[in-house]
Amino acid sequence: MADQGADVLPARRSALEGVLQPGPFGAGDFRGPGLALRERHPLSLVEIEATSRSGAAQLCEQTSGILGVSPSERANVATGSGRPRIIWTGRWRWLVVEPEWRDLSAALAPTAGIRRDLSHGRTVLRISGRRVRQVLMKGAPIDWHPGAFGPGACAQTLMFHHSVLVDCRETDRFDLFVARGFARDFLERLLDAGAEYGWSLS
Amino acid sequence: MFPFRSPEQSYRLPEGGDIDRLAPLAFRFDDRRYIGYQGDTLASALLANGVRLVGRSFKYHRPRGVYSAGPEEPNALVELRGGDRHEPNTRATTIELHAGLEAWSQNRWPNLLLDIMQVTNLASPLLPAGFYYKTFMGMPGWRFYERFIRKAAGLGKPTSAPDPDRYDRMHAFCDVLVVGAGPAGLAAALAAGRSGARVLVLEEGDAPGGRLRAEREALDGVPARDWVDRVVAELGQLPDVTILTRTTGFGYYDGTVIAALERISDHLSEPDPFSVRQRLWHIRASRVVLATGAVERPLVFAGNDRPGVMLAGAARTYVNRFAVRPGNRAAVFANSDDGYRTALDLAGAGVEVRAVIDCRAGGHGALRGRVEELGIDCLDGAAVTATHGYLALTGIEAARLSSDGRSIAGSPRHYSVDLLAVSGGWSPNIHLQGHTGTPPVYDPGIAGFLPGAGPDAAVSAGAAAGAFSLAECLRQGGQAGCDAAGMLGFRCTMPELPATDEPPVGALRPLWRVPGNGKGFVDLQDDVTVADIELAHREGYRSVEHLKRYTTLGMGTDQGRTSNVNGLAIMAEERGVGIPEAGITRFRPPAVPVAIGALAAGDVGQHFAPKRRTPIHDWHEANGAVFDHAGLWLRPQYYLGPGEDQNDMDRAIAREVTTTRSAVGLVDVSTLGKIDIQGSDAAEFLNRVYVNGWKTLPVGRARYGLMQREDGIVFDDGTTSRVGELSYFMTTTTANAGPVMSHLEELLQIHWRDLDVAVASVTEHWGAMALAGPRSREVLARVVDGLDVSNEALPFMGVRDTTVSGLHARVFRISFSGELAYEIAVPADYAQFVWERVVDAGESAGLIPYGTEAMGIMRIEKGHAAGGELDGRTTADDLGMGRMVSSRKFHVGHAMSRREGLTDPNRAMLVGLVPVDSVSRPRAGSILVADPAAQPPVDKLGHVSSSAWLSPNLPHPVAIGFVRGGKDRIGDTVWAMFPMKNETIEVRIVDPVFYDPDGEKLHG
Repeated sequence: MADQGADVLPARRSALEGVLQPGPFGAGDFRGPGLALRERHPLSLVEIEATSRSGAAQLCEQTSGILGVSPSERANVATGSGRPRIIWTGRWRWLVVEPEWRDLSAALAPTAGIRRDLSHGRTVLRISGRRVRQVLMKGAPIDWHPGAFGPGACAQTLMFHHSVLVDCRETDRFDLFVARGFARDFLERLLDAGAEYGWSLS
Repeated sequence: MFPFRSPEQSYRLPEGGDIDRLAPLAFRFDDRRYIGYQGDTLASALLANGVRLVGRSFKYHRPRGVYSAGPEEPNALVELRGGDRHEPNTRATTIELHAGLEAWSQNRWPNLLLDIMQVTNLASPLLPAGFYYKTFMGMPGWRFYERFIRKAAGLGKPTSAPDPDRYDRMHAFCDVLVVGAGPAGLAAALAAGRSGARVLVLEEGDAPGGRLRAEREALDGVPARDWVDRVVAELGQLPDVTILTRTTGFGYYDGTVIAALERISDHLSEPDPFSVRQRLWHIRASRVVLATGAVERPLVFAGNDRPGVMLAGAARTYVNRFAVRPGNRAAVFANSDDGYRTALDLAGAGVEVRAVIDCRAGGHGALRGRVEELGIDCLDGAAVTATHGYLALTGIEAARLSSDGRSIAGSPRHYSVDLLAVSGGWSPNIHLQGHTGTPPVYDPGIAGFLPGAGPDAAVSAGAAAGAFSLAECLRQGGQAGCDAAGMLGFRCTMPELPATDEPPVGALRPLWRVPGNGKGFVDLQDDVTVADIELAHREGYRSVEHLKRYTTLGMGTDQGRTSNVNGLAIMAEERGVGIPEAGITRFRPPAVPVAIGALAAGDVGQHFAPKRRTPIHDWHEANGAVFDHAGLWLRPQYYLGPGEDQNDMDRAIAREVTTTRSAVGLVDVSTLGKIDIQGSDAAEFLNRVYVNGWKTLPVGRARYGLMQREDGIVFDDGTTSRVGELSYFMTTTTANAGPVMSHLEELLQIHWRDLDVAVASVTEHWGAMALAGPRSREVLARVVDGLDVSNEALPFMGVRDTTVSGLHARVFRISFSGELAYEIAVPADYAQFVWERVVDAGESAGLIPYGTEAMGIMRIEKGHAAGGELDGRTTADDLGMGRMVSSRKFHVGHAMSRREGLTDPNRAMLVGLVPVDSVSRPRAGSILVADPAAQPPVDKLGHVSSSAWLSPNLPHPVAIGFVRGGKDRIGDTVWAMFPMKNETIEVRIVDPVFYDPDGEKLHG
C-alpha cells in the first residue's frame, strides 16, 4: 500500500529543470538583448480530434461552449488569448493549451470528439524580442515575414532538425512546442542560433 | 639616417580611390610586414607595395602575379591566417584587408623566389596533359608514387585542427531576388522595391556598385558612385528591401531555391564573440533577376602568364577603386575598345602607357583618338607575340598579324614595360542560370555565351545578359525588376534612369590564340596551355567535357571563369567546327568555392543529430549510468557502482542480470513508441494492422501483436492494451516508433479512410519503467495506491489505471525479460518522481536499476525476437510465430506473406546457438556454415542475429540466430564464421528459449 497521502501532489518536473539558467546569454548589445526566452510550465495540453466533417463541426461548437474559444476551421490558425489557446494541428484536430489549473481533459469530457492528454509530452518555449524572426529564419524554411506569418498563425515544421509546433502570439512573440525528449537539445540549438543577438533567459 | 624607411605603398596614387587613407592597416605576406588601407583587398595592398610575385603555378611552378580583381582570380591563391583558422587557396583579390592579416604564398619550397619545383617548368616538354596518369597508372606501385605526385602538383595545405568558428543557416523568402548589385541589379532592385515587392539583393562585394566602383564613368554628369549611393539610400528606406553584401549566390536549384554564402566575419581577423563566420542562405524567391555581371577573358599568347600581365578591367579597378598603379610602364593588348579605355585610365593615373596593341585592323570607337592624342603608340591588326622577364614582366614583343590571324605578318617591336593589360572581351556570368539546366547560347557579337531561355522564374539582365554598355545595363535591369514585380501583381513603373557619358565603341574581334612559339596559357590556374588542348584533340578528346577532364581545363577554385571560352574555342578551331557545335561544359553548383563548414551550418559535433532524453535521464546520469545511443535516444547501457569504471562493465552487467533474475530490477522503457488509438472502428483497425486477432480483447487487458509490412515481412511487434471501450494504447519497439506511426497514418489517410479511427503518438507524454524479477510484485504493491496486484486481480497481460502517490499511473503486467514483471507508465513530468519512489520502495527487496545490456541479455536468454531478428528479412514463420498469424481475417501483408519464397520450408528459422567449447563468443552477424574449411562460394545455412556474450545464469555465452531446418536441427553443430575478425566458432543448435521455457516465472 502507498505510504503517502495523495493530498499534496509533487510538482511537475520540467524537461529543462537545471538546464535553463536565468540571466543573459550570448552577445551584449547596447539596446539590450535582442531576444528573450522563458519556458511556459506547467501547461495543460489536450489534443481534440474528430473523424468526420460533421463531427468536427460539432466538436468546434461544443468546445466553444465549454471553453469560450472556438477552434479555427481554417488550417494553420490559432485562436484564443491563451486561457485557453486553441491551435490547429491538422484536419479536424486541434491542441488546446492553457496554464495548468484544472483537469482540462475532464473539462472537455462532454464533447463528442476524441481527447488525448499531451500535457507532459511537449516543452513549450516562449521567445520574443526584436530579433525573434531572425532566429526563426535560422531554424525553419517558413516565410517569417510578419505579413505572411503574423499573430494567430501556427505551423508545424522542422526547426534545427526538430519537429516543432510554432504559434505566433504577437508580432514579435512566439510559442514553440517541442517534444519533451528533445527539449534540451532544441534549447541548445535555439540559444546557439540566437547567441549573436543576445538572449535574456528567465 | 631617416627615422623610418618609407618605400611602403610606393605604387599608391596620391589621391582618389575607394580607400580610407586615415585607416592604415598593417599586414604580413610571407612573413614580411606591409601597410595597406581600409578598403584594400590583399591583392591591391600587395600591388600598392610593389609586390608582383604572389604565387607559383599549379603544375610547372611558374612565377605568377595578381591577374584579376575578383573571384575569377586564377593565380593569386594564398594561405590565409595562421593556427586553427588557417585556410588554403583563398583568393587574394577577394580578401578584404584587415589589421593583422597574415597570408602566405603556396605551392612553393623553400620560398617563393627560389622554388625548387620550378625544375618541372624546364622539364615541361616531358609533362604533357595526362602525363602522370599515362606514366604511372597501371604501373606497379602507383599507390606509392601517388603521394609524391600529389605533393608536387598541388595547392595549399589545410589545417587539421578543428574549426573554431560558428557557421549557420538562414531561410529567406522574397518576391524578387536580385543577384548582383551592379548597375543592372540596382536598377532592378529600385524598380521592384518601389512597387512594394519584397526584394532581396545579393552583392558579392563589401558594398553595392559592381563595376561602377571600378570605372570612371559619370551618370547624369556626376560620378557614378554618387548615383549608387543615392539608390542604396533609397532602397534602405524601403521596409521590404534587403541588401546582403559579402554574399555570393552560388547555386540555383529546383523550385526557385537559390543558395548563397554570406561572409559575415571573413573581413575580420577573427569573428566577434558569438558572431558567425559564414552563413548559408536558402532563398525561396518568386522571381529572380540575375544581374551577375561578366568576367573579362584573357588573350592567349606566348608568355601570357608572367607577373605583370593582368586583365585590363582589373588594371582599371586597381587604378580607379584602389588608387594603385599596377605598374610603371604599361602596354595594353586588346581585341576591343576596352584597350583604349584602359590606356586612358592608366595614363590618367600617371602610368606611362607605351602602346595599345589592338588585334583589329579597324573599326575603332571614339576613344582611339584620345589615346593617340596622348602620344601612345597604337598598333592595329597586331598582337603580343612574346613576353620577357622571369619573376616579373620586363618587356613584350608586338607584331602585326596576318589578316586571318593565323600567322605573324610583320617583324616584332619591343616595348620595355612592367605591366601588360589584356582584354579578350567579356564572358557573361551565366553560372546560376546554367545550374537550371538551360543550355547557354553562343553570341558571336560578344564572342561569348549568353544565358539560355528559362526557367520562367528567372531573367538575366545587364552584362550577365551580354549588355556591355552602361546605359543598356541600367535599362535592362530596370525593365527586369519592373517585369518581375509586375508579374507578381505589383504595380510597377520603370524608374527614371540616369544619362551615361559613354563614347561609341566598335565591335570586338575574336582572337582565341596568337600564333607563335612558347607557352601560351589558356587556364592559368591549372597550367593548361594551347599545346595541351591541341594534344587532347590529337588523342581524340573532342568533347569539351572530355577536354576538361583530360587536361583539367576549367577546374580549380576559379572553375575556368577566365579560361573556359578560350579553351573550347581553340578546341572548336582544332576540330574545324563552330563554337556552338563544340559547346560548353555543364554548369554545376557551387559556382564559387564554399567551405564544408558553411554547408554543415552548425550541424556538427554534439549537434550532428538531435539527442533525445527520457524523463528519467537526470536520475540515470546522477546514478552512474553509462549511456548508449538507441536511435536518437540516450539510454542507460549499464550502471557503474561506486568505485567502478569502464573496465568493470562486465561485472556491472552481470550484477544487473543476476539481481533482476533473483530479486528485482528496474529499467527505463520510456523510449518505447506509444500510440493512442481511438474510435468506434479501433478494434477493426488493429485486426487489420496486426497478424493476430483483436476483436475479443476485453478492456483492461493487453495482447502481444505482430505487424507485417505489405510485402509479408515482419515489421514490428509490441503490446497493445485496451484501456477504454473505444480506446487502445499501442506500444512499438524503440527503433520503429516513428515508422509504425507513419505506417498507421498512411493506412488511415489513404487506404482505409472509411474507418472511424484516429491515431496519435503519445510517446513523449508518458514516462515508463519496467519492474522485473521475482520480487517485483511486492515492490509494486508498496508503490501503488490501494491497487490489488495479486496474480488473480492483476493476471499476466492485465492492465490497470491506478495512482502512485496520488498521480495517475497505468500498470501493465507484461514482460520482456521473462520474469514476473510490470510496466508502470506515468505522465512524463512525474516519471522521475515515481521512479525514485519505486527505487526507495524496492530497497529492502534488493532492487537495482538495469540498462540495455542486461535487458538484451535477458531477452536473448528468453529467446525473444527484437531488433536483430526483426531485420526486415524475416517472416512470422522464421521467428517461430507462424501460429499467431490468423488465416481467418485480412491483415496487412496477408496476401504477400504466402508468396513462394516466404513459405519455402527451407528458409532459415529461429534457433538458439551455444558454443561447443562453452567459452567462445559467437558474434552477431556471424555466418553459419557446415564446413569451416570449405572454399568459397560457401553454402550459407543461416546467421547469428543476437548474441549475449555473458549469461550469468548459464555456464556459457548464448546466441540466437536463424538456421536452415530450424528446430529440426536441434542437437546438430555448425560453424559460426566472422571473416572480418577471422573468427570461427563451433556452435550447437538448441532451443531458443534458454530460460524458464515453461513460463512459470512469467505467470507465477
